Formats: sequence, structure tokens, C-alpha cells
Amino acid sequence: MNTVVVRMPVLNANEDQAIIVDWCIEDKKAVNRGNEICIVETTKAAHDIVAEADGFIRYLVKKGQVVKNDQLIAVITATPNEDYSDFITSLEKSESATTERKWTKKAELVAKKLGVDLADLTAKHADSVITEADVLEFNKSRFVGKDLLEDANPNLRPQRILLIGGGAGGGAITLETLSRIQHQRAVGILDNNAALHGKTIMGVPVIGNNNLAAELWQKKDFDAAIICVTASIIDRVTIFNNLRDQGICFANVIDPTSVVKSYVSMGEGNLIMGNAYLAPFCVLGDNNFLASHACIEHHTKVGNHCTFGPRFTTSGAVTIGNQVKFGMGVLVEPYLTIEDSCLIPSGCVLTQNLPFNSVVKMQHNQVIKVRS
Amino acid sequence: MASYLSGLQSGLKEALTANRKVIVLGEDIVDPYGGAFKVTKGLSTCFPERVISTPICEGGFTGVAVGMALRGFRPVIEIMFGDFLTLCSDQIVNHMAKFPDMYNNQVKVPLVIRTPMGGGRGYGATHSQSLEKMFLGIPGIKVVAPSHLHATNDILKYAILNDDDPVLFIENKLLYPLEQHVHVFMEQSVEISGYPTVALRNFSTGKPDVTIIAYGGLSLEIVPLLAKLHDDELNVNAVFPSSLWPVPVETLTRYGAQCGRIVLCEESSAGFNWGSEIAALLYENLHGKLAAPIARLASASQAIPAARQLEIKTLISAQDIENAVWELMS
Repeated sequence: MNTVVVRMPVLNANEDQAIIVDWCIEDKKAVNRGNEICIVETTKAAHDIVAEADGFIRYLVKKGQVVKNDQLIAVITATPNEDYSDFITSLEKSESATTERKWTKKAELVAKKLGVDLADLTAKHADSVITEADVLEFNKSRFVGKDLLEDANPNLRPQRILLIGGGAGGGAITLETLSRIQHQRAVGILDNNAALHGKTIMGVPVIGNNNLAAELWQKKDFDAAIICVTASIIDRVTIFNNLRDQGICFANVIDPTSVVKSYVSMGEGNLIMGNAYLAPFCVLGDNNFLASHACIEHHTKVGNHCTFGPRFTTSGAVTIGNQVKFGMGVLVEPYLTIEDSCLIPSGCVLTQNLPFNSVVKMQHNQVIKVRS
Repeated sequence: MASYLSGLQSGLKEALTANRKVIVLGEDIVDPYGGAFKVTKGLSTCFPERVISTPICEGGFTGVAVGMALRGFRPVIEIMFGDFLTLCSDQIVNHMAKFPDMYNNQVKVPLVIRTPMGGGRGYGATHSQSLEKMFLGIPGIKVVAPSHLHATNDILKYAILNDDDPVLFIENKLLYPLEQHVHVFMEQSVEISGYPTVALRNFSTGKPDVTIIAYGGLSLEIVPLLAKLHDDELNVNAVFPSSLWPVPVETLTRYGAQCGRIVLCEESSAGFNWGSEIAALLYENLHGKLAAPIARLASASQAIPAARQLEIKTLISAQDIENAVWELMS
């Protein structure tokens, strides 16, 4: 026989409790179904409570005690000395148990409308409740680069480019350049500015944060990435290294109005804007940004992660290290060496080598002689 | 902070203090009993000459009160259970409501009839109904039913002291012990002077997905439901007019227009309801602006059982409202 509970019944619509006046059967004694167990009293009347099963009565409250409606008064056990503590614990547990939610109802509704299977999201959100925003984010990423014709002929389609940090000005000029390139096509933009998510720039969707790149790469939603952040070299380096660690390929995006001569060597992830000029035998590493009209003359070597402002010009055979930032209109004399991490402001004319980590100050109005 | 009950108690006391023409009549309302729901507790001790217990004769003492109101008193009567309004409906419909019009507005009937409505306490078929819908639309009277988001003190006091029209004042049995619910996401509009409409939303910014319009005791179900729907990311605005008749139609239209999805809820039995009229008015005012048909919810069209589980099945529940809300969204 299972243990049976005896609860205080609702005896009066206006009262939520009653007093245990007396026991009719001693604790641990045998009862039969229908036997009176105890007498309880409300403000209006005294009532008998009867056993609903055969067994042994085990009281949980005291004589004279005020008991709330539905409160446990006793249990009826199969044997007189049975331990019922586990039974009570499991009863309390099942009463307080709440079903764990895996997603909100709004998320469920949106998923249904969009045809998203929430099971696809549960792995990623094992520790949190899936929200509407999670579903929308997932939905956006599902459709990147999916094209009925191009995906049927993957070897012949233009290279699909994902813009990283492409929500600002750097992204806009990159999109404009890509719009005039036949062999490459922008398929999506990532940016950490959440206000842009779900919107489009020049028809290209802003899909999510920069860290979504790995997921999109695994799903083969793009062929190569390009970093559009131009203001911060540190950000360019961090993003580049992160993506490369995850095996993501980078594209060189070169504006068709720029000139890249024969015998130019170039790594990957370089963004080269309109009317730039790369002379023969120059070498460009990875992840450099060349603004419009930048000119890298012959036999010049550039490392990685450098940014060049508009109308930057080197003469021949200059050596430039890594993470060097040039402002606008900087001129560099031939044969000079600019070491890593230097910072050169707009309008400078460099006439001497720069050691590692140099910061150059522009001197205006330098008086060289006073005429007599 | 006042409870629904203590607001009514203090409202009555302040009205009796403010105007010597205020007089309270009803069954078993004097101390020590103080009324079946204790709304008049303590009043007869303070105002023994103006708080008077009557015989069990609703029609009789309602008629007495109408007469007193005609002759310059501002009587308040208590009908112990709203179900008993049927006993005084002749006085309400044929006398109280009509005298000002019949006498070319040369007389006024500033009478307040207070009575508790609603189920949920196992009182059975004749002590649990919400019969206010029987009096909606009668020209010449107002029907007022505050929720526990309203300040019952202010509303009752206004009805007694400031409203020269007869007012049927509907209270809710389950709301009596509740503290007035106050929240920063609450706003109040007063379209019908003295009887504000309170709106409570469950979101800080943006637009509602659904507007729930309800009154009286359903605030007890709807306030926790708003929190639950918030957890499910649904923006809901719950609007509680305290005036059922006349209808604050501009206010309800304004809230309904915010999202175009409207659920109307009431505890009375289904069929020819308050919600029927509100829905018709909203359809007229929001033609072409609704995203979905207006949902109307009420209790089952049957006598209310005394047995607890059967009563629960009969009366409108939070689950019914939640289901309707999601139905509108899908």
C-alpha cells in the first residue's frame, strides 16, 4: 500500500483554517477507511475527518493546533513504524517544482513565424532562456549568402565578402568599392554597434556582432573577410588575429580606379581605396588600409596592419614596419626605414629613419633665417 | 498605503464627516458586526444617527434612500450582495434613474448604491454573480467599479459628495483585503470626472503588443499575469476604467489604437456583456486600424457552482486571458 495523505479540508467558504480539537485514534494505531480520525472546529461548527484508506495513522500536527486549509494533518502508512520522511520530502518537492523554461513564449511565436527550429538554438543557449532577440539573430545569420543561382555554381560565383566592423565610414567606402568590382560581392556586415543590427547598408544586411564571423564561416556563408575598421590599429590587429586563428580567409579589396603595377607582391586583408598607386616591385603585407590616392613607390616594403591616410606618398625603396599609422598627405623620402608602431601625423615630410614606436611631431612655421 | 477595503471605509467616514447630509443605510451595517464585508465597521459608533441598519427589504430601503436624495440628503446604501440588486431594480431603473429627467432636472438624486459582486469564494449561484451588466446603458445612472489599482477612497468620496447623479458603486469581494497596487509603469486618465481609468504596462519603453481592457476584480488576475507575460517578452498594457457607464470611450480608444490587438475581459457570464458594447465602440473608432479581431472574454454562461473546482472552471481565469493574448499574437 502507498502512503496516503490526510489534509485539512475546506469546511467553510469564509474561513481558511480550523482547530484540531481531538484525536479519535491514537498515533500509530490502525485505521480503516471511513473511520473518524479527528475532530476539527471552525467558527461555525465541529467536523469529523475520516480516513480515506486502511493503514496506520501518523499525525503531523498537534492537538489544539490551528491548521490551514490544505495543510497536511496526517499520513496513513502501511505499517505502524514506517519511515515516511522521504515521502513528505518528495511531496513537498513535487508541489514546489516549476517547469524549467527553455525559451520565452514570444521567442516561440517568432520562431514559428520565421520557420526557425528552436532545437537549433538550444545548444548555444543551454544556460539561458532563449529570447526573441536570439531567434531574430539566428534567423538573420541563416540567410547570409544564400543565393539560388550562385550557390548552385559555387566555383563560378564572385567571391563572397563579409565586412568586419563595417557599420561606420570605413564600411561604407568598402561597400561602394565592392559595388564596382565584378569578382567580389558583399554578402553581410558585422559590427558591434547593436543599433545597426537588423538594418541594411547599401542593401547589405548588418547581421550581428563581429564575433559572429566564426559561426558564419563554419556555415560557409562567406568566402573571405575584410576588416573595415580604420581608426584603431589595435582593433584591426585584434580582429585580424582572432579571425585568422579560426581559419577564416581574408580578401584583398582593391578599388578598380587604383593602379597596381606588375611585380607587386601582396598578402591578404588589404583594403585599397580609389586612385591608390602601387608601383612595380613594391611589397605589401597583410591587413593594411590604404586610403584614396595613397602612393607606394617602387621597391618599397610595407609590413602588416598599417594604415595610410589619403595622399600618403613614399618615394622609392622605403621600408615600413608593422602597425604604423600615417595621417593624410605624409611624404617619405627614399631609402628611409620606418620601424614598427610609429605614429606620423598629417602633412609630415619624413627625411630621416624612425626607430620603433616613434611618435612624430609636425613643426610648422620653423624660422630658418631672418633676412637683413 | 490603503487597502481596497480600508479605502472604502475611510472614504465613507470622511464623507460622513464632510457633509451632514450623508446618511448610510443597509442590512447589518452597524457595529459590532459592521457589515458582511466590514466596509461600514466603526461607522455607527462614530455616527450613530446617520448609520442605520434596515430590515431585510432591499426594495423598501432603496426607495427610502431615493426619497431622501430627492429631499436634499446624500444617502449611501449597502446591498449586502450584488445579486440582491434584482430586489431593488424597480427603484433603480424606474425611480432613481428617471426622476431628474421626469421633473425637468428640477430635482436631483445624489444617491450611491454600494454592493459587492463577484465569485471565487464558494458562495454559490446566488451570492457570486457579477450582475452589473444588467444596469449598463440605463439613462440617468452611472455604474462605477474600481479595481485594486484605483484609490477606492477618492472614488467613493467623489460619488457621495460631488456626484449629483445616482451611482451604482460595484465593489469586488476578492479585492477587499488587497493593498492598492501602485507601480511606476502606471498612468491615470480622467475622462469621466471623478472616475479615473488606470493603465498598467509591463514594459519600460516601446509599444504594447496587446492591450487588455478589464475592470473590477479582474485586476487580481491580470496584475500577476502582466509579470508572467513580461517574462515571456510580451509587451502588454492593462487598462482598467473605473467607470463602466458612461464609457470613457476616448481613453479606451487611445489605448486600443496603440497596438491594434485588444482583449476585453469581465467576470460576468458570457452574452450581452459590457465587453460587447466596448468592442462595438472600439470597432467604430478603430476601423481599419486593428491588427486582429477584438477578443472578448467572460465567465461561462451558466449558474456559478459552490464547489471550489467547479467554480474555478466556470469563472474567467488568468489562464483564459493568457490564452487569448497569445491567440491574438499568433
